[in-house]
Amino acid sequence: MLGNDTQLSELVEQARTGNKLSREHLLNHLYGDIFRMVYYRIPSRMDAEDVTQEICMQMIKSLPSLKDSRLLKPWLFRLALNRIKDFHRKKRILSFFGSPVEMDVNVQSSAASDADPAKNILHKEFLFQFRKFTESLSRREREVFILRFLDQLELKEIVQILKRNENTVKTHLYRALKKFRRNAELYALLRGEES
Amino acid sequence: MKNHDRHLKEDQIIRALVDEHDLTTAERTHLLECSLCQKEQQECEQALHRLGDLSKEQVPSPQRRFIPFVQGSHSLLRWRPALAAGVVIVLLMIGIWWSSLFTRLKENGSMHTTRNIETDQQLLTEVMFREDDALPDRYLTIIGNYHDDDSDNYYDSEFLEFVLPL
Repeated sequence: MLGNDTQLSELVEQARTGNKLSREHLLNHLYGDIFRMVYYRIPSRMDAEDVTQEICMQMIKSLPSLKDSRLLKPWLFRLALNRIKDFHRKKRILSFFGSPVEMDVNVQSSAASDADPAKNILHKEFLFQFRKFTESLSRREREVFILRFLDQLELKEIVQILKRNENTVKTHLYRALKKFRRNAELYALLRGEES
Repeated sequence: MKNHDRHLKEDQIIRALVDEHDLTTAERTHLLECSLCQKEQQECEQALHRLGDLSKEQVPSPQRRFIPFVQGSHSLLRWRPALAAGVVIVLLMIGIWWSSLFTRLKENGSMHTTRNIETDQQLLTEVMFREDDALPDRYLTIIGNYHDDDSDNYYDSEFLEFVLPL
């Protein structure tokens, strides 16, 4: 997610002390990553942008409370996951009044529109299969799986983010991987793409 | 377990993917030496890596950059459906109230018209009556031209005999 760890730690330290320029650099550096992380969980560009904005605001506000600048990543992910949870909660209330969570299919296809038609079809097929797979997972399994393989976090970082026992996280990941391994369609699609 | 006797099972490969340290020493040694098991683990790892890459490709680039200290730029937009629903409900209530009021007014109007017609008819009857006897009733008695249901009994026979003895 982040580049050079030492440089980043320095930047975080400076931003923590209230250096506006460092804060701006830090945000510019993280914005894309935060947005991607949010988009995996809220597949609507407009909503993801709103939530990313909120996360950045919260980050600026709470940055002085970060004790160790090396822990920025798990700290930021935890903050982001809480905002995403808030968003889903709000959406659930709003959907009661007839505003369901929108899946930004057009944006998703436009993101891959540069590719050739065959690749577009592959992307659509992948999305369909991946959605089907994530629906087969429990909430915890899905959470851990996405953190590990989409956000590409280490197991220790996931443990820090979720504040759960390492063995519990491993169990969820193990179950999710087993389901992934047994999902013949998705697995074949991913393997076929490699060759 | 002898290293090349038995290959790792699917469960063990998955355990290795989660955390290689969770495998027993024998299993780890087998994995280090067995190309078939390594291949299977690598295939799974590559599939997962590909999954990450493909997911990344689906993400559009954000169109907005971070705008400091501007919060909830779309909060109104988010509440728009609820707002619209509220407006529709209010409009419906106004419509229902208006239609009931209109019906009531219409009913009142027709009752008023009926009453007017009745009054007009009464007036017309009176006018027609006044064409024959223009004076009001109390003056008719004075001039002796009063025709009432009881008019025949107004002067009893005793009084008439007294005034006009036969």
